[in-house]
Amino acid sequence: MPIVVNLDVMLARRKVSLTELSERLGITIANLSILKTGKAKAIRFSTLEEICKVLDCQPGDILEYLNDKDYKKLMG
Amino acid sequence: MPYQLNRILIPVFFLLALILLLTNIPDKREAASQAVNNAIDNIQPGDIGLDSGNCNRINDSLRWYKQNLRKRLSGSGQSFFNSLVGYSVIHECDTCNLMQPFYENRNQQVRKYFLRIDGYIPRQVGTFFSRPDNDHLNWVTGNSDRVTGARYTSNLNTGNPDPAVLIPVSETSFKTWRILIIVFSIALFIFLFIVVIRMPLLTLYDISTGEVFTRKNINRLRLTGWSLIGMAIIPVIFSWSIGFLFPGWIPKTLYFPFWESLFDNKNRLLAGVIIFIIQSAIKKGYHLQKEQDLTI
Repeated sequence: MPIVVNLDVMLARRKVSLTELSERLGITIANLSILKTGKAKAIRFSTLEEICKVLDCQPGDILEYLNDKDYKKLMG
Repeated sequence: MPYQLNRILIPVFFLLALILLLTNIPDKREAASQAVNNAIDNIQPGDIGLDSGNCNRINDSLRWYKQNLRKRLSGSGQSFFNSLVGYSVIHECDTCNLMQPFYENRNQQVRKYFLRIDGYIPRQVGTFFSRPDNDHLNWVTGNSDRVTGARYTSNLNTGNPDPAVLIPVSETSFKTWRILIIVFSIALFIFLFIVVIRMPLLTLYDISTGEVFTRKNINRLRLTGWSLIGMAIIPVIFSWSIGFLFPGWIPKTLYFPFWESLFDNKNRLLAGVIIFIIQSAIKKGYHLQKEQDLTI
């Protein structure tokens, strides 16, 4: 699926660790890890809202669409 | 099994089971057995417009056929049959007094060894045995059956249909065949016990403990469904294909009633299809559950 989750980029920009985000969102690290590694099938609006609130960003900062060629290149 | 093939085959089996359930296929097998028993063997020249020579030939053939069947079945022997293939040992005695008990004729008996394929019945039995006034009257001769080497057996004493083709084999090869058939039957029994009884029970247990939508349940039910469909279709196809592939083994006077045999197995076919419907529902549930689990 050529939707890339840039959660790790936003975490680095805001200097927030995955553990801290997990504690503030009330989501397990395992679930956040699924989201971060791009294995998730879907994301709830409520989760997205909470992430945007904590990281002070827009949904577009976290989710990005790539065309097939670029996606394959990124994923190797 | 590829998903696309499943999508075609399962509806086909479902329709087949439905047709078999809704149609009432006339079963000729019992009539065949009884007709052999009640065969008229006193046809007069005036009855059917044949000359006396032909009437005598028909009467002799019928008489030979009936007596021969009785004599060949006069002795008991070991016999075994699974749903595909079996074996029989028959103690033949052409000179025995049939009114005497079996054990009193022991010295005159000859042991003969056969492989057994079930399901075959006499061809044109309705016109030949019970209505000899038909224009297409045929008759069976002892020679034609001896040439092919196979025989027709039916339980004449009770009148119950027990039709089977017996293929003669030598005593040496019979021993090998017997071991092979017994080993195969045990393996088949164990396989069917696991697949048709144990696996559905394990699935029910898993469902009762809350583990419904799992890959394990899907695989178990798929195997059970295919096995039930196989149990319905394979024995019929097997017996039918023996006559098709090795016509020399089956006497010309016999044929395999394909639809009647399939009709007997309609419940297995329907059970298999129902298992597949349940399996499809669990499979869909499994995918939904997986998607749900990966929604953050």
